[in-house]
Amino acid sequence: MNSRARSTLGGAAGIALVSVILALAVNAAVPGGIPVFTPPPSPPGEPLDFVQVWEAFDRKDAVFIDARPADEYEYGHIPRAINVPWLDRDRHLPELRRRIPPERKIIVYCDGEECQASNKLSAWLKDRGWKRVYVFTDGYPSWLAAGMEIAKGEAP
Amino acid sequence: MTGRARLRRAVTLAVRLALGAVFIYASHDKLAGSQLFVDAVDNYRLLPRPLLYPFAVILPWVQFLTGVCLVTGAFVPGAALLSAGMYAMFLAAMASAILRGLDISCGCFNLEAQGQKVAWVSLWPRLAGLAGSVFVMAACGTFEWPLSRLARAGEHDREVKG
Repeated sequence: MNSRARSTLGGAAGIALVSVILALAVNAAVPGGIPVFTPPPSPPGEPLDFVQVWEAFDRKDAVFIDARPADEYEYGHIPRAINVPWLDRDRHLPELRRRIPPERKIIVYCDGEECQASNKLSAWLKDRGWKRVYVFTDGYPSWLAAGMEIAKGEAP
Repeated sequence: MTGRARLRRAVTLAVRLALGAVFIYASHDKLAGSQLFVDAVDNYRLLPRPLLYPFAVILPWVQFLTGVCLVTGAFVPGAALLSAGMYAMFLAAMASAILRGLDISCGCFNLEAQGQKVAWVSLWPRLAGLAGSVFVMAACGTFEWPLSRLARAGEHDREVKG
């Protein structure tokens, strides 16, 4: 290796090293920064029963997220619910960040106990900074069976 | 200095400043640590989870310092090498996302907005960045273009024969 190549590699390594030191120092000094080491994956949100969900809906103190595919959501959903299909979650993330503050209560549902999308989506949301995430375990079928108000059509 | 050498110096300076400015702009809103940038990196689904946060914390600083070095003219060959490496990495990540059919935002500049979607057309600016970085490296004499080497060898042969 000639001296010019050596000095180029040395320069690149030096810049990279200083970058690492600055990144760690600034991250430690700035309050509210993201963790340097990846936190362990979050567990799914706590389960809520029908009555707890109905109370939250009635008081309008939670954002509802429907984790089912878009066509099922359009066919019928809990009023004011946002549709975030599990398989399409990444595309919705910027919109969720804009619409839902991190301290807001979120209730995720899908097609009931056999459906895993709400559990997975609730853990995914907690990993991304929303702390008060719950799962409506009985999901949309129980809401429908109870004769509750529903909405149809695409998300607003 | 000949007119040609002066032109080459001017072009090198312009490319260097442009590359540096792009890196500084791209890093400015990620330096204090950004959850949005973690999301953007995670969307590519390339990094194993333990590397996600360290990568999102360190990469903006590498971009920023590389940009500062390119703009100020300090450690230019090393900065150009890092720049080329980063552009090659961005190109590979984007191409892989497109081939896997991921419908994601680039995460390159504005993280707040929906941002530019990753598509084949997003590869062109990164290709230009890679070419610019290689050009700056060559201008610094880090390596020699094959054609220049051939031309020099030809000159040497002529001198020996003459």
